[in-house]
Amino acid sequence: MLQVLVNSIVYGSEIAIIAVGIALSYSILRFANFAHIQYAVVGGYATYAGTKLGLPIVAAIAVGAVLVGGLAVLVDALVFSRLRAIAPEGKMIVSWGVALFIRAIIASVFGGSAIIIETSSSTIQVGGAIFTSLDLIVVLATVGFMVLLQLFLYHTRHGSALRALASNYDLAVTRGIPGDRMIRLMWFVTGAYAAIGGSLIALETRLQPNMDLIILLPVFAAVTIGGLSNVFGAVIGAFVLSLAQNVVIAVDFGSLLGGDPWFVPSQFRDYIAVLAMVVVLVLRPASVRPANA
Amino acid sequence: MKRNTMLAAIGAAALAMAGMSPVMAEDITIGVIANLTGQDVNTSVQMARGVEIAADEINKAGGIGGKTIKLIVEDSEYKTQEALTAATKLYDVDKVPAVIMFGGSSLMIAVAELAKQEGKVLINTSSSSAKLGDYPGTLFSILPLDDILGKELGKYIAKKGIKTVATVVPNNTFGLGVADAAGAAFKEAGGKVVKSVAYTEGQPDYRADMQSVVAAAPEAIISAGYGDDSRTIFKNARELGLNVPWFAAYPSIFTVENDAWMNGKLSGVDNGGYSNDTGKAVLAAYKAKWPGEEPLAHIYYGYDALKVLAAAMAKVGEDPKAIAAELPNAVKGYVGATGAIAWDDRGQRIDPPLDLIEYKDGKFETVGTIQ
Repeated sequence: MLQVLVNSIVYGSEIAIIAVGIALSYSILRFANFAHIQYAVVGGYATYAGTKLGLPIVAAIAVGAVLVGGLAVLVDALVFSRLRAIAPEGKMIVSWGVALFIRAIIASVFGGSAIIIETSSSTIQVGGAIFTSLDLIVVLATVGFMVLLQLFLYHTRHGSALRALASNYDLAVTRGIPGDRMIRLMWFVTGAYAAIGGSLIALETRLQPNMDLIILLPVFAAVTIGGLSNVFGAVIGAFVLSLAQNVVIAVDFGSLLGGDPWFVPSQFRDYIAVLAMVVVLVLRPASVRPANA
Repeated sequence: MKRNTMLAAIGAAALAMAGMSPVMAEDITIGVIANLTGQDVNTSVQMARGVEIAADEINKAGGIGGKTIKLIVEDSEYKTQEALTAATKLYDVDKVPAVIMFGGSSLMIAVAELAKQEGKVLINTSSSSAKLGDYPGTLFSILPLDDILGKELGKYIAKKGIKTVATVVPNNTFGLGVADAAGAAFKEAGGKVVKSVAYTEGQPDYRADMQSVVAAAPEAIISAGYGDDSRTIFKNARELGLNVPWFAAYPSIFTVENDAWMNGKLSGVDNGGYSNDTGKAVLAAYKAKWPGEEPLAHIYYGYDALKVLAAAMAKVGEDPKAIAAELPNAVKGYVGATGAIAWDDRGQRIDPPLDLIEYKDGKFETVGTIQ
């Protein structure tokens, strides 16, 4: 069971760092940004391109994060800023369009085949659990970035301004908070976090243009479980979901029922994410209504 | 990576051009279905190039009964529905009597069903599911089916003195066929299968699957697979410290992830017989036409497919029923690039030359043969 816990923490970390960005943008602009997933994918490819250009991996991730942060600001300037007045459903659909556009560009630049970013990691065994040094780095990086986000949101003037905008946008703007500038800052932060998350996933798994569809469900399920607009709720959502997914595929249902060993095939992880979302929406519909960041 | 993409693009363009050239009245048209986009593009393009080499050779020697062979190449995108669309177009619109196809068993079986209904011929160059034997008179395989190769693999592993194995295969007709046949032969020889993993293709990682293999602690792994998935499986296994030997059906179609780690660990049973004179001539033709590009074994299967088809058509013309009846005679005595071809009464290859190959220093070496 220790192994299940380790797997859950690693997978939860990968999901959490992407999920916080969706929650942050939702808290201020009140729409679920599907293009966010694509920022993660672009981040992964940017890291790959950086390493190909000779950058060390950490530097490649950092450069990728800055670039994708810029991309998120650019997309807002070109698209979302012009749609502030339309209904959230409209923005959500447009964000899907943006996602498809970015996806097509990635596929045409990098090709449709999978890419593995070469890393050298060693195996670590603690108790009965096996994990790699890369897993450890992923988890530590996620913890670090979460602390950083907490400090930013709760201990800086810009962070307070973002929280004020999330709490009551109009009131905050009336009180002198520069709404548009803060929104650009918010996009930069969410884009950069998505890129970091996408890069960590790329290091752990592999890059492929349809990577967006693979991370879409768990990320949105985590955000939904966490209450959509609650940044740290999304983190908790990611770990709850990850634990549920890993427990279900690790339990030997066959032996439990007194027969031959039988496990839920690992690809059913995604359906567990859908199920978790459905359960939250049915039991706690109020939790996904806009709340404070 | 980039090279593969370019290869695919060049191949696709060349084949599309071949397909687009106007069909003259004195031409014989033959269909080719390959996945020019989607997964495993490179292997598929290689097969189509093999067909092209055979067409060039036959046309240079005067064609079939004075008629020039024209190939019409359609893309299956490695999707069953697209393969069926391609086959429908070739059989109904282009009126080809026969199609040479590359694709997974799930695609091949669907097209075989269509070809059977239409009374046409399908030559299989890539699939090896035992279910393909259900289309006698319609489907003819250049590749031996999994039950033959899997059995040899199981016996080979048992001979190595190994007592316990885990099977790790993709959850498709090919993977399950190999796991069943190899597992059965291994058990018959006294071995025990301690864990069976059938993974879903296209997943970003297989950590949980490989962890369950680690927990079962087998002495070795029986495997089959290809492309990006095989690479990811190896990566997960390596990271989890699963340092046991891998025995595979067709190890040459795996994509090795880490040369140093895989060195000496991967071996298995693969199709062989390419080193004969015909195989050497095909290789030379390939190198002349696509200099600098690494050939794969698939060229030989594409080549032999068109050669036996052309041999049958030279005798009986373009009627598909007559071609199907003549094909078993046409292969008699034919020694192709993949060795001598012998078919059972289902049109499935038996007694193929099989090689035992091992991965050493970044490439596969033939260490023995099974006849």
